[in-house]
Amino acid sequence: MRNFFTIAAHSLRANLRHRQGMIAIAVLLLGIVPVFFAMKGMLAELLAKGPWDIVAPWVVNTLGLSGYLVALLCVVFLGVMLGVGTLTQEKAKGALEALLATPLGPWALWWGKVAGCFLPAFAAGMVVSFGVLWALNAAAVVPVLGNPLFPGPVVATVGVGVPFLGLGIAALVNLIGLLVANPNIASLSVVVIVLAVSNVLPRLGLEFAEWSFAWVNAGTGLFILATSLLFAWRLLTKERIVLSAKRL
Amino acid sequence: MMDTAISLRGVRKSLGGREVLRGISLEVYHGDVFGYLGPNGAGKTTTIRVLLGLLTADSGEILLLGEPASSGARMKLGFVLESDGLFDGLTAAENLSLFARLYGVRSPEVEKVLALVGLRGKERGRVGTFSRGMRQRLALARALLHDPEILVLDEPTAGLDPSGQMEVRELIRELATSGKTVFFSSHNLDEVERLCNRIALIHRGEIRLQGGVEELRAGGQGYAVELPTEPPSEMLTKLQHEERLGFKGVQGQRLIFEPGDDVGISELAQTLSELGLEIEAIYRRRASLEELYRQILAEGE
Repeated sequence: MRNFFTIAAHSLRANLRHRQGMIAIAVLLLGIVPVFFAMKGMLAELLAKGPWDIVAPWVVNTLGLSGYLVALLCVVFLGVMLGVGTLTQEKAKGALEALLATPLGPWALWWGKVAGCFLPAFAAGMVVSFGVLWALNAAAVVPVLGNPLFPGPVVATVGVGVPFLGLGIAALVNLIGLLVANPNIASLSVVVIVLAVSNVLPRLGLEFAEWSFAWVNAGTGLFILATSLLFAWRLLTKERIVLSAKRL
Repeated sequence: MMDTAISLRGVRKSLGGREVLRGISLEVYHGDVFGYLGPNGAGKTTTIRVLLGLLTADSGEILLLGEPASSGARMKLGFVLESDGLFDGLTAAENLSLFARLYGVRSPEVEKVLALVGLRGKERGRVGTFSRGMRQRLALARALLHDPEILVLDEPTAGLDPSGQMEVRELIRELATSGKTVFFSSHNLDEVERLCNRIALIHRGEIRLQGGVEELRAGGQGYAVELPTEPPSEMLTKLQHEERLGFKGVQGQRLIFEPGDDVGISELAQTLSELGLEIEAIYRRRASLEELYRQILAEGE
């Protein structure tokens, strides 16, 4: 357990210092601003269309979508981008091999790496997502309706569903990154999968502000996590990590 | 009988369908500076990875200070790998602190080992800005953090400039003097000859030669004859005609002979005197490691 915390603390520091991590955070924060204004405009337009009881479901759904998108960007994509830069560099320079030549086991290395990229992404995700939701409510909904709107299912999606999805994906990306020669390939393929899944979910008839949407996200995250654990149990060894770096 | 620090018995390892280690057996004694020689792809790095537990041997036995090589026994090993494996974005002290925590070592050790390798005052320097020599010294400091009894070094002077090589060699000498057992792989025969008391040569996954450097060199063939002046060319022609003397050549004022078993040192001296040569010294020739290395590799072809 001590080794897990050591690697988690080290990864956290290395990720936050890494140039790719800093670029990811900057891009993300810059990207949130246009998302906020686009969503604000959409909400204002919806509210202007007609009486509240008619447009309410659309307003709530749009709030759900904005919360979901921002949380997904922060927790999932930032998590992947934060971790993969350092993982690629450490692997290429033999640093992972050096770590594994100590009493550190492959599972402590894996989970330390997961924590090092998931925790900052989760923290940033919660602050930014709820910040954006609150700002949208304050700027677009409250002035028109006179009451704060914060739908429960949206809170569950942002606060529980997406974090589970982010944790599962962080675990999967780091696992693949430890076992393949170029961790960038792992992150790229996972990003494509996430984009595909996030496009498919709404087409299944799920609304962004429904409880089922929150649980589908959390369930998908748990499924990815369980699959990662199963693969790790079969595949994650010091030998596989060392040999995947292709320096014999 | 000497205590064995590292013992490999019949260790086999296949990678990608190719048998990289073909039942190698090695004995490294306590206090040895043991040179592990071999051409590229011979299996040196694989042996070191198996020793460190990074690869699992397919069969065979590995003992460290008499105990089977478990993760506990491997705490007695310090290592420097082929690539230094340092974190460029961290400072020297942060790099060492990370490994100190993994070994369960307290932080005062960090300053102690930095001073030992001559990096005192560089604690706060970002490792990415260090020269290759400084990096290698830092990697050695990392290897010493938990005060291991055995040091395993994979080509510790590779890629260093001559002064960097000298610094690392000097450190290895100091560590050996302080009682550490040092096992290191190298391509540099001259370095191995100067630093090591025992060596092994691996070629195509098999140990082809193993023993004390002096014993192995004593197995050299022929005699060297020292003269007071360089011999005239007509004398060399005469020597070439004396086939039974096995004249091999001249190195300045030294003549090299590899006669058959029927010609001893006294007979050689007598024949040379009869030919009119003034001899200063005559002795049994000792093979250099380079000669032994070439001979073994040629036998393997």
